[in-house]
Amino acid sequence: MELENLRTIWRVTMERPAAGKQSSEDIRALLGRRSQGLVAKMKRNLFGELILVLGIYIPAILFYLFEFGGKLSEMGGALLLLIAFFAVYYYRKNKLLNEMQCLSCRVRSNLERQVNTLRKYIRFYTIAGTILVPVMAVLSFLITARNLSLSSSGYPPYSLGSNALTGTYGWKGLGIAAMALISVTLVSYYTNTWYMNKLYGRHIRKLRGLLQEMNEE
Amino acid sequence: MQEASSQPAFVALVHEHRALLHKICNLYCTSVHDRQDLFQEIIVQLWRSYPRFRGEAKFSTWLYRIALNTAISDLRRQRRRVKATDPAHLPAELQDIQYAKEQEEQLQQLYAAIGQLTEVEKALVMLYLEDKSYEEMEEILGINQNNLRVKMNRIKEKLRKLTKATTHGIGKS
Repeated sequence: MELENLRTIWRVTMERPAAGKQSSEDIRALLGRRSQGLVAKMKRNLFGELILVLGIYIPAILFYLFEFGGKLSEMGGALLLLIAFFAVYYYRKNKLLNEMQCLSCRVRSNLERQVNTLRKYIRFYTIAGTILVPVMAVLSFLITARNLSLSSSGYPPYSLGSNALTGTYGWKGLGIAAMALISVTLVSYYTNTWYMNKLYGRHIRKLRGLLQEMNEE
Repeated sequence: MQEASSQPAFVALVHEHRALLHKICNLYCTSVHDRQDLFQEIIVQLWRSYPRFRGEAKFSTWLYRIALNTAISDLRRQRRRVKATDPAHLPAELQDIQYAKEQEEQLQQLYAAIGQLTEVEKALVMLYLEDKSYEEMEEILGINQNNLRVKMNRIKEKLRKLTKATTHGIGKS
């Protein structure tokens, strides 16, 4: 049977009383459902992540700002800085997700948009996740160093040796710390890259394949 | 938030075109469960896009774009794709029709062959079966008309080979 024959049968079939048993009520009932598409799921996950971060960081910030007579307020300040970083991070991710698809556009345009925006999203996530590690490490280091230098004045409550960052071991200690930081950052980068490929690699390859097929002459 | 006042108009339009949505779901899905899922997803996406529809394109063109974009991008369903050789794969609308035995076999073979096409090829077949001109296809798919003609010829040739392979396979058993 040729495709032309099917076209004839198709046309005849569609002149019959409308196929599809959904009534207007059935259709109306579907309008309130959540989308199960990839972009909608990513947006929901992002929102869940945001709630989780706020739920953890806000109590921690308040704790450090107001407990111990404000002596640990720098820690609260550092966490506030991190919240600001997360705010930019979530804003950017949300913006990319909003731009990721245009279902009312032509199919090829929509595919191009999905491929390009998903690549940007993956790149952003990888870089942001990688930068976060040294940023947190450096912040922790500075706060710890400051508290150690104050500990001789009777400030609580660290028990680390006061020679750790000063004196004859200073440069060597910093060198070791820098190497450790670079190693951890590299591990973080490759871990993020692997994770992104696991989450989205298959999807992006599929989209690229479809786009390539559409562009073939 | 969608305006409640636009809902009845939207529901009426979708109800009028529901047969078209079912045809798309039948072409892209083999199981009843997947068809229902895809139908639901298409309705949700149509409703979310409806406030931005300003009538620049025809409503059917807008509907085709959203439905095909949704069907083509649905990776979850594609993972569960089953080879469409089961006679029950014929869409319900075609199962109801009484055919001569030979014609029914050919129809099943053709549907099985269409099931083996890629997502893009299915979209072209869909629009071809709907009697869309190449100009309208270009509006929906974003592929230029010359390319569409070439692709359509290749699809027809591919379907001929697939159905011939199935016929020979049946003959040998």
